[in-house]
Amino acid sequence: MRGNKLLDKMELVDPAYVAAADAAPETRKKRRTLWQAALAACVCLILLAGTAAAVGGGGTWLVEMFGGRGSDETGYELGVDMDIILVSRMSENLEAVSEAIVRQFETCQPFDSWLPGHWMEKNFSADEAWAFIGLESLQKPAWDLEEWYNTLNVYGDSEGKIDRILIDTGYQTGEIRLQAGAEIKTENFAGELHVRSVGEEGTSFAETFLSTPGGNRCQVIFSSANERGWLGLTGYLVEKGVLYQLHVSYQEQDAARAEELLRQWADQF
Amino acid sequence: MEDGQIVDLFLSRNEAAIQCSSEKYGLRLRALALHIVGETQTAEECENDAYLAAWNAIPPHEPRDYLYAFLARTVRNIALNRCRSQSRLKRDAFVAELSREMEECIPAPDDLESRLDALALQEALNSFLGTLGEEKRNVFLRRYWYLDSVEEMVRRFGMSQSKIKTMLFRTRNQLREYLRKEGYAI
Repeated sequence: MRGNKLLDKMELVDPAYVAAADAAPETRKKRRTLWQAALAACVCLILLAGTAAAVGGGGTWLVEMFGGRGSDETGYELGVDMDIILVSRMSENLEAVSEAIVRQFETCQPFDSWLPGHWMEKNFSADEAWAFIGLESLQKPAWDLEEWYNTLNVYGDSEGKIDRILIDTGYQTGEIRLQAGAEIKTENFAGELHVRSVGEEGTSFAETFLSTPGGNRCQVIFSSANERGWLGLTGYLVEKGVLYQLHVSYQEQDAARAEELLRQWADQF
Repeated sequence: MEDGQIVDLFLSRNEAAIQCSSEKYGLRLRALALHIVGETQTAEECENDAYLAAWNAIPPHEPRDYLYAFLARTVRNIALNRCRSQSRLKRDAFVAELSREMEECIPAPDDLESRLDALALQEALNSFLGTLGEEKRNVFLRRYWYLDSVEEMVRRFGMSQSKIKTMLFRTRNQLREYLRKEGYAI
C-alpha cells in the first residue's frame, strides 16, 4: 500500500472521532509561571541586543538553538528586525481582501480556511501573487525553475485590518526541493516577528553568513541529514521591510547545486 | 429534523431527504469540499454528487446516528478523487504532500494491493486512535481526515507550527510502530 491509499482509507475512521475532530477545540490559555516570565524577560533582553546589533534596514539573528540528543524538540529560533510596510503602499487589490476578511468574521464562512482572519489564494502563480500585492520593492527569485505550488496568504482582524502578508512558493529542480517565502508586516502588526524552525529528533544545526552584492547580510542555517538522507539549507534576509526565506532540501550528492541555488537567490539582494 | 428522520426519508425513497440533508449539513459539506478542492463550483458539484451517492447507498446503509459523518466521508472521497483527476484544480501537490506523510505510517510501503482487508485496517486505525489522547487524535484527524494545512491547524488549536508538526511527526511514527508491532502488513 502507498501513502495515497492510506490517505483514502482514513475514511474508515470511526464517525465519532471524525465528528469530535470537527467540533471547535477549547481555546488554549497560556499560563505563565514565574520562571517563564523570567525567561521571557531574558529573551526580551536578547532581542533588544539583537535588534541593536542588526544591520540598518533590518536583519535576522539567532535567538537560540534548542534540543539535541535525546531532546523532545530540536530546532532554532531567529529574531527578526524588519520595518513595517503601510498597507496604502500596496495594491488596491488588498481592499477587496480586507472586505473578504471582514465577511469571514461576519458570516463564519472563510474561504479555504477553517477560521476567519486568513485569506488564502492558491490559484495564483508566483508572478500573479507578486502583481496582486503590487509592492514595487518585492523581489521575486530571479530563476527559471519549475513552480511546484504557490500560496498567497493575507491575515487580518475582524475590522479587515491587514497585519501580515506571506507569499510562499515551492520549486523543484531535479531531486532538489526549494521553498521561497516573502513576508511583510504592516502597520497593523502588533509584536515581534520570530522564526521558529523545528527538525526531526537528532537533527543538528549550524549557522553561517553570506554577504550579498547589495551589501546585505544573509543568515544561513544548515541542518544535518534526517533518517531519509535529506539535508537542509535555509537562508534568511531582510530587504526593504520584507523578510525573505529560502529553504532548500537536498540529498548529499546535490550539495554543491543546493549551495549554488542559495547563493544565486541571495545574490539578487 | 433529526438525522433518523432524514434517514427514514432516504429509506422510503422520498426526495425530500436530499433537501433536508442539504438544509441541515449543506454548508458544512460544501465547506469541507471547498477546503479540499479549492474551487467553489467544483465544491458544489462534490456536494451534489455526495447526495446522489447517499441516495444510492441508503439503503443498505442506515446511518441514523452518524449521518453527517457518513455524508462528510462521501464528500471527502469525491473531492479527493476530483483533486487527483482534475489537474486544473492545482491541488495535486497538496494531496501528494499528505500522501507522502501518510506513507511514513506504513511499515513497509509497496505498490502491491493491500494485504490487509478494509475491515482489519478499520479496526487497526480505530484501535490506534483510541490509544491517543483527545488532542493528539484531533490534530491527527484534522490533518489526514479533514486535510487541514498546518497553518490552519495553528489557528484552530492555538499551538505553534513547530508543536503541530512535531505532534504529527510523532503520531505518524507511533502509527507505523503500532501497525508493525500488531503485525499488520499494509
